[in-house]
Amino acid sequence: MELPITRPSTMCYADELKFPDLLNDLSSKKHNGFIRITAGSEEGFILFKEGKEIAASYIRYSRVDAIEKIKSAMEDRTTLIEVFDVRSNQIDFFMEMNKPYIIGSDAYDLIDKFKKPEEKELKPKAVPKPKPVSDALKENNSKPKAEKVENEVVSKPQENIVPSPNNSSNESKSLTETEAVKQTVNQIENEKTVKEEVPEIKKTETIKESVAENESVIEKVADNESVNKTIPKSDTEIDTVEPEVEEPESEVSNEKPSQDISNSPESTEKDTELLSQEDSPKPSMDRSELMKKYGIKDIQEEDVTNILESYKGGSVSDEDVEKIELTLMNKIKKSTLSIPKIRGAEIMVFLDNAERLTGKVNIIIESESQGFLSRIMGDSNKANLERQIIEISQIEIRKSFRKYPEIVDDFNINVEIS
Amino acid sequence: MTRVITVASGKGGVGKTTITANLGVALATYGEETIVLDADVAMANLELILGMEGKSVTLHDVLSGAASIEDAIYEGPGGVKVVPAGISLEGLRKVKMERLESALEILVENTDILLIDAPAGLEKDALAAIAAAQEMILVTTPEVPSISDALKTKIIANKLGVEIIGVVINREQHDKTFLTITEIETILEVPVIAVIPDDPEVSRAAAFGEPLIIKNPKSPTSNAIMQLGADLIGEEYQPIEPDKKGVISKLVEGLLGRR
Repeated sequence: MELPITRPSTMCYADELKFPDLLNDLSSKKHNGFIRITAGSEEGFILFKEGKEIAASYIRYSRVDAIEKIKSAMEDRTTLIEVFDVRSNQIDFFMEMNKPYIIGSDAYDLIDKFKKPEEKELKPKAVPKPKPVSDALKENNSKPKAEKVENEVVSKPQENIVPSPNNSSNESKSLTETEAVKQTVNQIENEKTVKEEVPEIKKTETIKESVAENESVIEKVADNESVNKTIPKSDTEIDTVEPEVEEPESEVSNEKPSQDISNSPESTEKDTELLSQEDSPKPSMDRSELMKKYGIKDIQEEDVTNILESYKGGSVSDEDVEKIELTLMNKIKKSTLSIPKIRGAEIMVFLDNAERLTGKVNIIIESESQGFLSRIMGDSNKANLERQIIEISQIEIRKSFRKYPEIVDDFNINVEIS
Repeated sequence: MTRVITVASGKGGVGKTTITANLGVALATYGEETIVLDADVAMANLELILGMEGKSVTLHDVLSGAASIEDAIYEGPGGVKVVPAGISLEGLRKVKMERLESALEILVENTDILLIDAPAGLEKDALAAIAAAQEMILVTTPEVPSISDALKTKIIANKLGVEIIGVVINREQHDKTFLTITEIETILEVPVIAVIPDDPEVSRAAAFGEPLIIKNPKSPTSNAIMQLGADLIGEEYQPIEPDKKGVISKLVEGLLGRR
């Protein structure tokens, strides 16, 4: 597809984001723009207009096929996803440019299927925690055990909502979310204290539900943790696997746990807000990825050496002077001897490299014996020959210093003809 | 011991000379004996920014062996000393960058800080300016070509054993199309030591041939450069707040004779 690649508003890898979540997020945000998916050398695009997928391409695939391929590509964790924003008034223009990829209205049922989370995602993970709850209640319906379970349930969100001085303003979101959890727990507690004659099996169900709900919350946290990249993974693991850890202060010192805890099942919108808010890339971003993104390359060692060689070799050293003298001598001699009337030539070149490169060229010429007519012509012939030799010498100097032909002005050329 | 700091960029036109000139003046105002040397012999314009054009002896003359470096030092604004490169191209052919080294040896004798404005690129003259220093400040704009060239310069400087103090991001515009500070730091692997906003005052000051930190010390750019200067020498700097009074209130005060 022909789309303008500018700076992406969001960039992440496929293992940090689920494809259905991404589509739903962009849909709920009424996103105008497009996403680019790069899986190795393969590239795909989905164009959105007010959150609706209107065109798609993936290598040679288009429309729904492309979306399907993109979904498959997202299974590879190294697939790069970039979200680009464009102005709403540009969308029609891009549609016009990418007509072959426009998705027909009949295909939206299929696309909706892609948007649905996989079933395994909906199911709360079979973490061992709920098991003791039911088991405990089944075994004997004693209150202390139920309390223990409740404490476990409460302990998870509490770990994350303990206010820390570093917490950001988004904390309020998490507080409201965890308050809801608290309310559920309080409700259960109230039920206990009032000692209503509620069948205990119902109570168990309530607890199960609350546990399951919190599990899904925690799972969401774990999922979104990798997107936000701010919480160390170990923290989340502690939350899910060891919920009884009761020293939350140190763990909640990060800025974003409170944001993450707000991810209840209906809070995917908040996720996308967080994603879109991240205008500036994460500090921990990989340098090589950045370099790739902007097409910047490190210079190779060989290039560095070449550059530095130019620094060393750009000037004329004393050794160079000798070489230049020899070269000039040979060149001038060769050119001079090409003149028909010259029998022999001795050339001496002296260069001076003290302030700037200057030189002196002495040329001694042995010409052929002059005939009668030539002797009458006399000096004029000699002057012509001399001028000719000087010109030849100057040409050779210029040729030797192609970049600085003006250097010939700094050469003094003397010619002796015998 | 004299600190010899080269201000280099790789790419031309990123504001290197403007920053060097103003940083030199800033350091001089902190009481540091500072010399600013324009090593950009081919495209010299430090003297234009400092309003010092038309000097009789320049670095051109020194590098071509026609004058000694002492004769090319001039008193500039704010007490900074300046060695102009000479705008004329006449002497360019005779210039030998090898002479820069011996000239610098003389310059550092009675100086606290020698700032060298390096030419753009990685030609012989630029390399000579980089190699002559112990430390380097990289100047870049938050654009990809500029950062790409800055990276090359940084690699070469590292190879030459020059310590890179940090990166100065010039003409920062808070625009999404440009790279962020974090991105620049990540790519260049060098800390950002100053962020100078895009400021039309810079061009105005250059047009007047006056350093910005003297012409408009309250401007954000002036404050950023003064802060950079302070950081370089471990001084404290209190930014000068811009005048918040509106034009009308100033006019009223003027009419009432309060000014």
